[in-house]
Amino acid sequence: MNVLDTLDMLFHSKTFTLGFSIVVTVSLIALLADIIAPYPPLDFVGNVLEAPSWKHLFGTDDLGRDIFSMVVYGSRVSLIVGFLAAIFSTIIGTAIGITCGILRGIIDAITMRFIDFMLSLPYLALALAILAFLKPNIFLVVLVIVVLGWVSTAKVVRAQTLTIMASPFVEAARAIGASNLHIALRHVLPNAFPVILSSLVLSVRSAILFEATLSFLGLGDPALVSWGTILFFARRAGAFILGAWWYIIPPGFMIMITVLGFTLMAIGLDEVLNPRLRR
Amino acid sequence: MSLTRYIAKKLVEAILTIFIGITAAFFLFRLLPGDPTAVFLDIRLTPEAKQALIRQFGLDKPLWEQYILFLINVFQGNLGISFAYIGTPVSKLIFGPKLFNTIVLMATSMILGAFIASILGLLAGWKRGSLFDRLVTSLSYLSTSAPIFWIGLLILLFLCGYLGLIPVGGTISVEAIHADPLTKIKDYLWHMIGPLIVLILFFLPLYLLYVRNAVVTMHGEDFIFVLKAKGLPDKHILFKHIARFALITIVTLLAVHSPLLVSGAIITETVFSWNGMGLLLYESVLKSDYPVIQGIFILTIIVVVIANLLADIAYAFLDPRIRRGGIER
Repeated sequence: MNVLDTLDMLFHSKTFTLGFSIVVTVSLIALLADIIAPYPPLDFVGNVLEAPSWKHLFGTDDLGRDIFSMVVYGSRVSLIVGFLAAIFSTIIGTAIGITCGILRGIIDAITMRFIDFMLSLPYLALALAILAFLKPNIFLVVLVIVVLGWVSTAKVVRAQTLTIMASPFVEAARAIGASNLHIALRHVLPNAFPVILSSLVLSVRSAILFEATLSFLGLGDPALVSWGTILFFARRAGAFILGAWWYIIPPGFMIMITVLGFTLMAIGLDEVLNPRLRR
Repeated sequence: MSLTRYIAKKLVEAILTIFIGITAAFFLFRLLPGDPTAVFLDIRLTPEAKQALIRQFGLDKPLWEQYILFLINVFQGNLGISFAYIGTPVSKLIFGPKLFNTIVLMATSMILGAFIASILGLLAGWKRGSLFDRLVTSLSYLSTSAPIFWIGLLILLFLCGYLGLIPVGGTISVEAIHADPLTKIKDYLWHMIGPLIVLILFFLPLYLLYVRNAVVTMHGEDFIFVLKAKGLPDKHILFKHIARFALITIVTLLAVHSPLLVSGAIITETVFSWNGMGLLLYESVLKSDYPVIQGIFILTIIVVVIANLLADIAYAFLDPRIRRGGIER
């Protein structure tokens, strides 16, 4: 199955296409934020807590900032954190997963024990504890998500590597004297690719949710406005008591729809690349 | 492997993990700024109290001796003194009404969530592809995509802001504190409605999707075919035979998702100002109250490990293949 065939199959899946369209739309909003947003996100451009109007599509917040502009710019932070954290944790997780799966032995045993330990950690509590000690900025948030996030990828990739290592073509490669590195790059990596890809998509999904949660708790980058930060402001201002629905619904809806986009992509990928699930 | 050996092995693993967790907590909180000696900068502490602390935690001794003393102290339940509430032992802050409030809230929501999810998941999986199945599955995916703090804010907006049906937050009203027990309980439950709905919406879709998929994969199994051939009604097969497997799924999930329990508690309790461990942890983070953070961290690791251990044991009892010493999970 080559890449073009795979892509063709993917876009025949309604689930994947829907998810992909959502992700592309949100990415375009993030890219074109300067054009789409009518105001700079942190400027005081209106009255306090104005209801939505043509002048302010999503109304204004308790400081008179335009919520529509904040939501548009917020997509940048969410996507940057989501993609960066997911790419790094997938690279680290894949490297460690494949290494363990090929080498086996004591290194593998220790690493797996450590991964099980990491998976049983209360990760939000740990992230809060770390961010409480250090001044949060966007790269620290990414770092924390990567440190806590690579384990699940490593576990999945290792399992896949074990299956691939048991197949005849790897045995054949070994017989003609192929090195571990050669097997890892030429046999394991291409065959584990579907698993790595869907793990990447799921990592973006959880990284976006995690960033939103940290920002909502006021531990995100204070210099940037993300969707979670807007909801942090909304809660602090008591928007739910004031009935300021325009302050609460848009940012949360954007988180939900973006995360849903990645979820649908992951489901679509699984359907297409995992033939056992195909019905 | 016999059942006793299986449990013994899991028990040893659990103790080892708790030990690693406590060790990690000790060194993590020493490496980062804000070690326990920082409390001495506080002038409110009397010289005698300072001396007592130094002796208890061996703060004038080398690091490895401090570590041994720390371990002994943790096993005796001494988790240090809070920075923010000067003079209050961390254990006193943790073990009290806050722990009780969290347990009540989390246990109720988890049991209700798992119960509703099992029934809906069984029905959806049984009638795979039906309108009901598609509706329930889509709503579950939508709901797992929504951040729970947002669901909390929406519930506060509609049920509290617009309709005034639930309180803004907290655990009990000021007026109810000195009222008779019945009024007190009523008031407590009234405060619990909001966080309870949020947590049920948090757990339900997760469990539901797993149960549904477990039922779907079981559709083709031989024993289901035999049961059908025997002429048993669908209802009987579904709720007597398949439900047993769904239960195993849920028990495993409860353990695997126990870290989620902690995040659920932190977020929900913060949104609704529910006076529990999650809120205490959040406030301690904001106040840089390291001993409390460390204490809660150790406690949560212990809870998570015990949850996993109990699930492993329950799993062995529910799945005869493990009980009779066959496969290992």
